[in-house]
Amino acid sequence: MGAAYVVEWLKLRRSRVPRVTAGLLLVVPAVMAALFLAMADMDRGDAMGLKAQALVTRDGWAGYLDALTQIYASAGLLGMGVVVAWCFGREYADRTVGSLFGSATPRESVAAAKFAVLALWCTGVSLLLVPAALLVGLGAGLGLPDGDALAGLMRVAVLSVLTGLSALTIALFASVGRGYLPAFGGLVGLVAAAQVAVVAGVGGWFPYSVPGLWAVASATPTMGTVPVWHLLLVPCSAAVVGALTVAWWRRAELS
Amino acid sequence: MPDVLRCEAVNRGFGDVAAVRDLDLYLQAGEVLALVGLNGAGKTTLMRLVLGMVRADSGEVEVLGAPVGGRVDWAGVGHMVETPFAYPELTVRENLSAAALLHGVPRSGVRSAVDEVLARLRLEEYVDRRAGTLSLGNRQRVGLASAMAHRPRLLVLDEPTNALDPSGVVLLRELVMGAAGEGAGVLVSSHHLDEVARVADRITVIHAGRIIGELDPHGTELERAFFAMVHQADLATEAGRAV
Repeated sequence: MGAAYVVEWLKLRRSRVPRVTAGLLLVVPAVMAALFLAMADMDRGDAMGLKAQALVTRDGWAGYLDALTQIYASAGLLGMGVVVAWCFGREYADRTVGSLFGSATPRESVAAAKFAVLALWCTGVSLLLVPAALLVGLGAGLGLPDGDALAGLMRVAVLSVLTGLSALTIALFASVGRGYLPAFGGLVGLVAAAQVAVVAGVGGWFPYSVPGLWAVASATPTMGTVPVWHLLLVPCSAAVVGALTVAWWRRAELS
Repeated sequence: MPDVLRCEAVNRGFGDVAAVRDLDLYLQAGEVLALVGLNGAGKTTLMRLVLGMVRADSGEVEVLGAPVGGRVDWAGVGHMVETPFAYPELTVRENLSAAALLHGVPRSGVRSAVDEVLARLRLEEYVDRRAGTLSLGNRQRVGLASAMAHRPRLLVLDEPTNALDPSGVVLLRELVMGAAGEGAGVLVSSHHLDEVARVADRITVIHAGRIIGELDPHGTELERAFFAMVHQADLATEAGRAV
């Protein structure tokens, strides 16, 4: 393994940001989904109850996974975007980027290594999401999941991987903007743009909304489906953004 | 002795401001060259040009015989410009290992290289401490160790005595002279004329982006000579404007 990969993996393992974010992504959306399910079941009639009933239209595991999918579509993009923003933006914010010049390891290798370790981290979180969501569902008293529920859990894991790939775009914002703030601004913009694309009816063609739309549509019989091949937009856009970011790291001067 | 660094007619501006103007400079292996100048004189910009952090608008910068932007053997270069290589979440040993790896030390040689530089910088007692918990001076030492762990042939240090206590300054002096003694060329900038006079073979004065002369490291009244040189350069510039 190249030096840049070893060093970036070490930095990712030792930092609090990826660990805390992983913990939050594994627990918070699942707990929120279970709470929404419980509130929808209560039939409270207040604003929160009505909101919960709008989000959760089915009972049991199906309802829980519907809520989890919808929550994770946005929360996953936000959470993973934060880690991407940290990974690239910290070099500028902490001014450590200067140390990466004049080195036997080219900066483009460092940027590529960052993408690789982020992809590994995202895959790990996505795999752990299955048992975490399962445990929360069991804890919420939903009983043992049937085949459909297990398929739904796997779909959430796939959604998580695709969301992570979408979030890699934040690397370009962090690099060109040279820090966290432009990255966080870009992240909020992407989440908002994904919502607007869905409302405008073009969400199935927008790389940042298509994973969520696909996952929700696949789980909800009343919704139209999103062709699976549309998901290819996500790795394609990630590859374009990755290439642009690596090129930026190769060419950009230290400001 | 071969040149480890050569700059010819180098220019670099930032907007309307000419940070480095028509600058010629060379540094031989085994030599310590000190750059002195007022704040904003162009010392850091020159070092950034040498390390490829910024590109020259015109002119040539050669490092270890190859043009910057070409096939420079960067494994032969060590530097501390800007912020020290000290990631706060990593321990001192991890930081030094990371720096050695990135500078091209083979994995099998990293441990011995790190142990050696830890001893040279007297950092052994902090080896398992996270860099984020160190004092500014000790982070500076970690940055110096990161720059030297791979035994570079060209060492570039920008204001290396910043944040160092008196014992750190003495240690740095020994390290710089030791590196030069082993054949490395050292380019070092400083505000402290007395300090650079103790280690430098040559002292080059840079002012308003230009090299305006040299000071004799063995001379007396260095400060007076420095300000006289700067004053003369300012007068010449004003005279030039008047014409």
